[in-house]
Amino acid sequence: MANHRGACSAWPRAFAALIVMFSVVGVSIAADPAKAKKAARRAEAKLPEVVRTEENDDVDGATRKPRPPARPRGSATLQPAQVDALILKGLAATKTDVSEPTNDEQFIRRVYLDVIGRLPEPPAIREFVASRMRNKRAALIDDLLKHPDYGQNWARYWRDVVSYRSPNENDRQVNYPLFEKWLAEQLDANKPWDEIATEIITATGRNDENGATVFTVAEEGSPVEMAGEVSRVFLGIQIQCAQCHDHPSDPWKRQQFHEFAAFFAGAKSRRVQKQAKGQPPVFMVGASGQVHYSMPDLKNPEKKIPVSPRFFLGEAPLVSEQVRADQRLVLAARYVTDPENPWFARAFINRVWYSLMGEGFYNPVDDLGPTRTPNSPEILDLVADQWVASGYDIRWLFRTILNTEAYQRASRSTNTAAGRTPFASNVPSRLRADQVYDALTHALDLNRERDKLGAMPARKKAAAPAGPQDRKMNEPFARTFGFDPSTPNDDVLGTIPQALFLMNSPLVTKEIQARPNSMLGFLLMTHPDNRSVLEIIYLRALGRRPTDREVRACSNHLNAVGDRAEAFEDILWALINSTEFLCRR
Amino acid sequence: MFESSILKVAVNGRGVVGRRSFLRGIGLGAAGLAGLSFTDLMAVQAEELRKRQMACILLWMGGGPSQLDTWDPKPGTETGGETKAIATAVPGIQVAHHWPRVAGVMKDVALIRSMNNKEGNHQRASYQLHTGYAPSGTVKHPSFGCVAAQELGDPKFDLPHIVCIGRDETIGAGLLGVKYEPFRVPDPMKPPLNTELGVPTGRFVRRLNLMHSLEVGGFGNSGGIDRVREHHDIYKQTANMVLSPHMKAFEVDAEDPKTRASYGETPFGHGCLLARRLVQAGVTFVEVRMGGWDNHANVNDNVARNAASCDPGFAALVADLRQRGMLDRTLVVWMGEFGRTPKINPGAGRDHFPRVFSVALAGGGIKGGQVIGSSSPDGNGVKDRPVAVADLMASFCKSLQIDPKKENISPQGRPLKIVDGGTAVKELFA
Repeated sequence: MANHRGACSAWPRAFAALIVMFSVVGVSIAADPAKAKKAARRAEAKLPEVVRTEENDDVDGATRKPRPPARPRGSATLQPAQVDALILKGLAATKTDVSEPTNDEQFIRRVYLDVIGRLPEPPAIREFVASRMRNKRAALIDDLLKHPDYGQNWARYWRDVVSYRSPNENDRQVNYPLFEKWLAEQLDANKPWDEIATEIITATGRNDENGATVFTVAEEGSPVEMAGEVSRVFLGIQIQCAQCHDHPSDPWKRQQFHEFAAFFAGAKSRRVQKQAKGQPPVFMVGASGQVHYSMPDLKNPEKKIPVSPRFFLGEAPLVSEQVRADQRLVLAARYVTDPENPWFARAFINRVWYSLMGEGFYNPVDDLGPTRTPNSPEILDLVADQWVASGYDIRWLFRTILNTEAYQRASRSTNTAAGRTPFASNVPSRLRADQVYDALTHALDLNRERDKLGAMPARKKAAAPAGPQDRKMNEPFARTFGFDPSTPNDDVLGTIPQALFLMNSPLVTKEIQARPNSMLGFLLMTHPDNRSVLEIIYLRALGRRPTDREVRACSNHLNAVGDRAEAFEDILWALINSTEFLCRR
Repeated sequence: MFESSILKVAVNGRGVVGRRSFLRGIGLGAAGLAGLSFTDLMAVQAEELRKRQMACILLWMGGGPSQLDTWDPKPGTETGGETKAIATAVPGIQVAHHWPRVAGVMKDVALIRSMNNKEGNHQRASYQLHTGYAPSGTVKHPSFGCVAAQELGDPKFDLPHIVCIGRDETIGAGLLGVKYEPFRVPDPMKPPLNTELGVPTGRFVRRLNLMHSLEVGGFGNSGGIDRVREHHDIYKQTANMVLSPHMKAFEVDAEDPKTRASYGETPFGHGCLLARRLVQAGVTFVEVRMGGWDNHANVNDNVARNAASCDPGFAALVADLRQRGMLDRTLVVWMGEFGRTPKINPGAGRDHFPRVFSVALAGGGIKGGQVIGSSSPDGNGVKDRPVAVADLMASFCKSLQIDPKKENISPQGRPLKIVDGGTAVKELFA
């Protein structure tokens, strides 16, 4: 009790600062000044109950741990059909036809890859196609969103978002596997996105204990890197471009960038345990005490100009220099995740939508902001409002998008103007490295041998499993097939080492052989009928049965080659090496 | 782009007419430039360069080699340690005693003893010495080799334009994209990863054709045409590469035993020899990576051991290029990410020191047999003629005739010069 009171009595000054600040946190960030004023009045009106009671204090006085913002968690009322109606309205204006709906085989492969990152087993495909259940697609979506691989698939996505831009080139130091594990747990528990973001921004502790600290370690605890990446990742705003000078085409001023960086002035990532044999070093992330931030004077590099924190959106006031390092982080998280800040919701929705549809509102996915012009802003506005109302309910967002007709449309050729119109069809994109690895394991049934031997076969070293042990740079498979998920789909191109791996690697060469204990060998032994062998390898590799045309082409090949095993090896090779194998479609 | 198409017709229609002479022929002086866009002029210049086949070999000394035990010895001083100085083929130039072979080819080598930088962290400094830029979260800058590959590589050439030899990773193409990503050869004595066909050539080609025929009417016909096209481009390129006669360049053991012996039968020696074979075949940029220079302890023993393979490899490379008439068109750069402290620490080692360090250059139009700049007698700083990283990068550009002011565009639409500031070290080209 005494402790508690002591902690409180030390607070008055900080409290005052927080109250002053939060009175404007709610200021609307909308570009329209009239709207902004209205929102400001609204925010002021509701201010006292948010801040003044002790339960709603932002930092736990005893543990000093930041508390998640106490926000009402309502529920969204938006239905997928309403989203579709808006999309169709937009397309009607440009007289664009939509592509036909996916068939069940296309749908199940797509939704498996998008939600849990891997391919459906052949029996699951057959069962789904055969099912007469009326709402079978919605039911499958619900099942997959509860599947344990959902969190992992998307945690890997966000791990790559962070790791590919990290200034820390040494991935082992950063401890991405723990970040992935931690984030997967948050996603599986359907923790609201604002809480996840807050935990990442305000994280403290060791990077071998608290996965949320990994972000700060990745940014090397540097205020400018933190500011740039927090803005890019959580708001989709590239304010870091203003680090060195005002940019003519962007609204952000250098001063604004450094004011935002001042929030991270005390963020530190310091090594507390040296690297030992087989053990990466350990970093401690934390922010405490009084801090000062200054930016270099452009005219005189020797001189430093002191800068106080201020958020760059809305009409946020300067934050007192007195506010301590840990409180600055809490404030930064507040500003970033504030429901009145339109970019926090939009940045997330835009990424998810882009991944699921192959087209987004903003492209690149991390370049939003007031001066960028989105596709179909009316749809994004509607979804964003509702998502905020839901309390940043991530599963709700996925469920809503996945159940739209727009998501469930077939992809189609982009050779025509219609084929390039956003949301008229679903656009294919390349699988991420983890997904390619899983697809290859699945297509060639590589886990079969592991189960039999009870241990990891030696060849797994060449293409280590994409489990929590893997790493972006040090792990050959991820290195070969990995890419920055913030890259526009059109710019994610195949590479020579990828082609070489699939064409010639000893792993693929060996595993497509019709040996007695390989997948293909077993199939050929147990299925005398070529058609059923063909069907099974198509289901395994591409998640669908072959078309009539493909059946004909393959039987021609069988006839031409003469040797059944040899011909099927060729076919399996062709499927593994095909574009379709590497794409979600 | 009317002018541009005329230009193409003129050049392609009559292969003997080089673009530059064609331009001269039609009187395209400064006054005549109005009709041509800047890109056209750049394209004209690039064409000329491709014909000259300018190339670069970077010998990367990972860890940061000691300048005092390589090209800037200070014998008989506390700072200089046990290292002695030896005479070289050029009177007046001395190098550390670990480097007798390089001393022998000093006529072709220029030493910069006044490199000056601030970055003392391995990763950040390596990034800077490869790209000319400090690392940032915003932009992944391309390494200079990738820039050279983009600027100078002949699009019709069937091997990668940039190859990196050695076990550890180098800095990549960044914003230039996967097309210019270094092709890695972890072990110079082994064929590059996955380039050996798992099946006979005929069957390999049969498989490619099968894949192609299945795809064009399949995924290509159902929404994947862009992806299929791009995939087939890569597969074509890759298949051309693995089936190319140029792949023989990777076979270091096919080299004359005498030549091999002069490079040294070591991983670094093999790497240098492979680099020469690749440049000879038409590769634009080769990096040969050697580690082991982070000598926080026992610097003398460690440098002696490293130099035992580095000295013959470097010297043989320069001599071999000279003998084959390739040196003028091939810039050879020997450098690491920084130098080491003048003070020898209690473990008989030297620690990171970016304030003054040395770089060695040969070929590519560089005037050999000279020393540029100097360090202070106590080794604590540059005495005269400081050379910054950007100056070094600008010098590479000058040697390879790449325009350092040319801008690449970052994904955020921000223009980035190949070299940010800096002036080429003019003494190198005197």
